[in-house]
Amino acid sequence: MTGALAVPSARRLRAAVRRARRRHGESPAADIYVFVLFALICAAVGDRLLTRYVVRHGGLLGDVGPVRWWLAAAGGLALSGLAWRGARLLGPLLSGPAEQSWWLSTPVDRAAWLRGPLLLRVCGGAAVGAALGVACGALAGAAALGWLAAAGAGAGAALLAAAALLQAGGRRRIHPLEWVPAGVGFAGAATVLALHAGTVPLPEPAVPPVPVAAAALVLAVAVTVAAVRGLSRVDRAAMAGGAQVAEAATTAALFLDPALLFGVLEARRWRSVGRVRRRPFWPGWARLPGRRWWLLIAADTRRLARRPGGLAVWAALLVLPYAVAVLAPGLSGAARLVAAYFATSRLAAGLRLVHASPALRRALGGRDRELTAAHTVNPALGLAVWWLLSAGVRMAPGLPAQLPFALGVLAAVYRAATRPPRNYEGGAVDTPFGMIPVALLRQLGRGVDLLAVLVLAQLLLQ
Amino acid sequence: MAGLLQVGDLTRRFGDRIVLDGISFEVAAGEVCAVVGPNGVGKTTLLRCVVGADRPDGGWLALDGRSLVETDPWVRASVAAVLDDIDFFPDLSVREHLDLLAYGHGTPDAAGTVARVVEELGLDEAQDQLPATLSSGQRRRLALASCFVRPRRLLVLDEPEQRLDAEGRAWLAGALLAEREAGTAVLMASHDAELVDEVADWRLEFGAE
Repeated sequence: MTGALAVPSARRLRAAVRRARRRHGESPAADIYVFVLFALICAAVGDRLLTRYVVRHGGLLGDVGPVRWWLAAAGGLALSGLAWRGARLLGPLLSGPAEQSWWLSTPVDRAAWLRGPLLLRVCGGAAVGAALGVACGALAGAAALGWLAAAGAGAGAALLAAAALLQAGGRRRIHPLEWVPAGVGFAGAATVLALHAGTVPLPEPAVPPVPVAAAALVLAVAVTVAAVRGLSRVDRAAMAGGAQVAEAATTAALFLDPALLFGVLEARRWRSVGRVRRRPFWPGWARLPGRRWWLLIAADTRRLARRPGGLAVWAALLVLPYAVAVLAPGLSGAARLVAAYFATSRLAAGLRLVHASPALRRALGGRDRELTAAHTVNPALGLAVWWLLSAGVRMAPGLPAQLPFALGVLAAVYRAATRPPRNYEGGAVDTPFGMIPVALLRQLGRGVDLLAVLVLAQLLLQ
Repeated sequence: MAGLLQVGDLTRRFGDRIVLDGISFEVAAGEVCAVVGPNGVGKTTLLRCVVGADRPDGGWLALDGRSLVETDPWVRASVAAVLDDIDFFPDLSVREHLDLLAYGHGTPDAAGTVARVVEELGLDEAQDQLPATLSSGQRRRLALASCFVRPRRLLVLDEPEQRLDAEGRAWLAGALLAEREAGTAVLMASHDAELVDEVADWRLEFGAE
């Protein structure tokens, strides 16, 4: 019954689907218009603010010789490593449950169906890579920005194509080695900064941009050809996981709520862990006064230890303010505050969890204030250590006078972690970008608002 | 009789938790196998591995003696499935979903087949509706309809009785018996003891000590 059927080509099926959807769907032109308008306004406003700041401080970039080049190279490598992680997390080829159920279940040529989406992603990777190449080149003070753009485009395209190639090969799990580029990038940046701080002279880089760009472009073409050839091996399972993440990311963007995405990523992470080793809590807790309080802290600490990635991000963020202090001394204090906020937020998962779940609070018992206080201990300790480790970064007041800023960061993290439940029913204002829910924005701005005030104060003082 | 679907030593782990531990069985053409057992024992995971929505960590699967790999167009043409992850396009009507699926499978007399299935499932009044306007029962019927507007040799269903009313369950039992008569192999997970008693030739029990 399944033999010799007139199965359509991928192009014909796609055209039929498009025709049917066009009968009911809206044109994407309106969405594109809003996006382009928003991007243009952000670019114009951002450019004006940055220019004013730079003029006031007599230039943004410090004159620090080859260290700029090495930092740009390390930063580029770290960002590429993170982009690789993102591409692997998403697929990069993905399909939602509807597409899996209705179109991918047909015997239509799988490779032909996926060729367009793959080439689109490779082109996107090339565009982002080119922009990153130019940004790193500008940071490094390089003259051959065109060749750096070409090198970045080649690397970006090759990165996306290589991720698709691994996907076709059935590599579902991300191998620990795949973290190496990001790790080397961050470690490299830290090493460069340490050498610079120790006034160790760094060698002048001598990388010819033309051969590098040519090699990157050849690599991109070769890997893309291999990825296209492997498309027939990309199975439904390989495309399913990324779709879940992409859907969560879209919903998070639509509802302006990153927690929706983090929830999916958390669930995936714990599902891959599956089971953890059972260990009793230290019996000594029972002898301490306020045993219950200590146990809550111990449980929160144990949960943090089960998130080694969070601790790695906490540590990696230390590089950021030091790098900014070298590259753009006028922004170092602000960078320290922002990095401290994100680093501390990584330790506040328990606080977010306890605050967001009345059922959990009921189950744990006791007063809400006690639960909240117990789950603020780890973020506070983490911030204290992080703040001391980043004390080498110049801020406007001296170290003792920085205490209000550190407490302000802790308060910002606390405010963000204890946001009230989302309410989508508040008033909305009609803007050129569509309806903006004011009440929702106020809710989501909780925490970030205080950070913005701290950053502004720091910029004014510095 | 050699099984149309053959499963050998199938293993699936999540972290170090083993969900499927060396499962082996066969389902012959014209045979209905009901996978039964309590929640969380791996019934859905087994079905997902069979249809290629999940990858097993070990073991093998074969359909009619040929390796069952989801990327093989012949396998996709042979295996019809409704799992718990089915979703719909919000901007396509009931009829358009089924028409396009039948077209994608090259179903002979696609329009006639779709019209017949729509009528059998009581979706004729709803065939121009978009999925967002359907009740959960109608959505379930649409999902089930996707299996019957296309050619198939193996039917894989995960709790197909869910959200169906009494009439729908009666239709489902009749449809499964008709599939058996037509020589289709059916692998279904179900918590409905009556349905299992009525249609299943044998049970694959999970979680039984």
